[in-house]
Amino acid sequence: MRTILFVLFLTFNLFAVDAVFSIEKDVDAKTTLSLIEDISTSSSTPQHQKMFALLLNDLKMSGHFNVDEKLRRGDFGDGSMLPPELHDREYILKYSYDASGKKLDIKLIRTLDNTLFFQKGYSINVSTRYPFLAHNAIVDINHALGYDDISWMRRHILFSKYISSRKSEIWIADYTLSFASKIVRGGLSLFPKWANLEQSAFYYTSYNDYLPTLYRVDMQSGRSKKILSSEGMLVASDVSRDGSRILITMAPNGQPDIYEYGVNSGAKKRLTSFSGIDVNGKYLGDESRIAFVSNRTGKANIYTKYIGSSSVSKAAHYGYNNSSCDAFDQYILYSVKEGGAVNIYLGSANSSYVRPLTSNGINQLPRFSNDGKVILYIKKQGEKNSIGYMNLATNQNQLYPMQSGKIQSIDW
Amino acid sequence: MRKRLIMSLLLLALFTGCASKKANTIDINDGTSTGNGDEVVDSSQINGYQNVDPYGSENYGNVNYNQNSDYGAVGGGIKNIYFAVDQYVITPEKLPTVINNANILKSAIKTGARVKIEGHCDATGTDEYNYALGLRRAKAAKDAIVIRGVNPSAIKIVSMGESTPECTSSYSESCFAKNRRVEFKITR
Repeated sequence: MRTILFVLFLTFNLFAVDAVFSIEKDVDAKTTLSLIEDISTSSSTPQHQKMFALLLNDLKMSGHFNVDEKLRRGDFGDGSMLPPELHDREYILKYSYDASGKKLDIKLIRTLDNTLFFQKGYSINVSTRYPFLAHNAIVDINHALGYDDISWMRRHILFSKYISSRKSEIWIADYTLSFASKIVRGGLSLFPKWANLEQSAFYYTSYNDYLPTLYRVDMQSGRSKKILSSEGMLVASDVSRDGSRILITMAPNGQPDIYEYGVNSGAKKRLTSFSGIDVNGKYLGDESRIAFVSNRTGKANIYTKYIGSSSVSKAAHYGYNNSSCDAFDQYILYSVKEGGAVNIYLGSANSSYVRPLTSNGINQLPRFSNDGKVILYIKKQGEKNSIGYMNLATNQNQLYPMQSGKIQSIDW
Repeated sequence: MRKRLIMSLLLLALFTGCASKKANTIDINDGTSTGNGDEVVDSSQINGYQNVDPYGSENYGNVNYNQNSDYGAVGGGIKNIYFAVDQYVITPEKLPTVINNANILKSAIKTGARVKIEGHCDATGTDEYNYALGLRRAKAAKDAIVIRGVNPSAIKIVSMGESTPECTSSYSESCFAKNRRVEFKITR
């Protein structure tokens, strides 16, 4: 008997399948994680405290992590002992944020066997842009763990805000507004719009010339180039994915309509011809169709039409006073005035699908992220504005208050 | 003996690994490791730090403007015209104001002046639609004074949206009502 068992024992390895360590990604489960700051570079400076808060915020905002909110400090070296109370966490994120404020090192440690799972270093040229160190780190960690992409976190937002009568400024910021920098100042400058996916240039409307004028600004050089002028009003509403065409609201004879402008050719094609108000054009799907705001039935509402066709279809299947639309693929975001509130709804250009995204207050200027997974919106409360974000898949929702000023327009 | 053999076979089956493929399974040893089988190192780490600053320079995209102060002066006796919510029609009770303004502007144009009509909105609307509403108000005012003899080629219209409120004291309807207006400016 003993002989048989001994032989069987020796044969275990012949029949066992190679143990491959696997991470099972149950889509509803979140990864548990704690943060440890490198004790050798830790500091009580405000910027170091903000770095912890940013990492924590980004992890939560992703919707993929269950994060321990306690700030711990420890050894950044490989293989160092982990605090016993953290042994039930799946991962430890160690980070080292240097004294210059321009470099961040991260190490993601798998607690099961205290091994290094992922590590990377990040740098920036100017310390005020430190939030992008955190955003890039969390985007990469999220990707390394196999979750859906959250690259939207590293993008810049562009917004204009009124500062006094006939005066506004255009700002660039990270999504949390922890970094914010004025980039157009003096006079009245409105409706900033990114010129491409890379965010290397943007358009905006200046009221500092005799007529409203559209300019394009290059982010690297700071040089601005005049694109065109129009009496009445002039707004760059949307840009095609390849950056070669712009949907513009113009009113050369006092009649606001949507035009498509060829960036290289300078050619303008008028897309709407209703005698009232047609504005806020947004490309849909393969960009052969647009969504837009019109008051052709008496009140502002959302419509779609194919470029080159005169036929128009109503797109918003909820609400009777709707405006401020954005579009991604076949989906449309818009603001609905209902009672004393203004709420944001998600609809479809191809069906009667409707989903309310907010339920109270004044919520305007909804914008899709470039991948359509997250929406940005402005919540107005009296004089104060907050920028809100909502992850459409995980329902993660967060508001970031602005210090001052009233947002006129925003792009992402 | 037979019983023991069956028990042993059962025990053997129990100890055999059953690694089944499940959905959403990621094998960390997928060829990205550097050799020790445990560590995944990003290639940029080898060269140092990944610079995540896309614009490079200290002060990217900085554009400064000196404000154009030529917004025009309001001529003596010219009055604003006010509108209802979401409306750009000049209602009959506003006609005396239209006639008054038209007469003043005709005289000013004869001396070489030009006219700028600005359309304004309250703060309850949003971005482009609000600016278009302001523009339609300005156009309605232009059409009204042109009918009364003002030279249309001397008139420019522009929408200022909600950028220039007349009333900022509160968020009441009475305050908003003062902001839904057109203004007539004389420029030289």
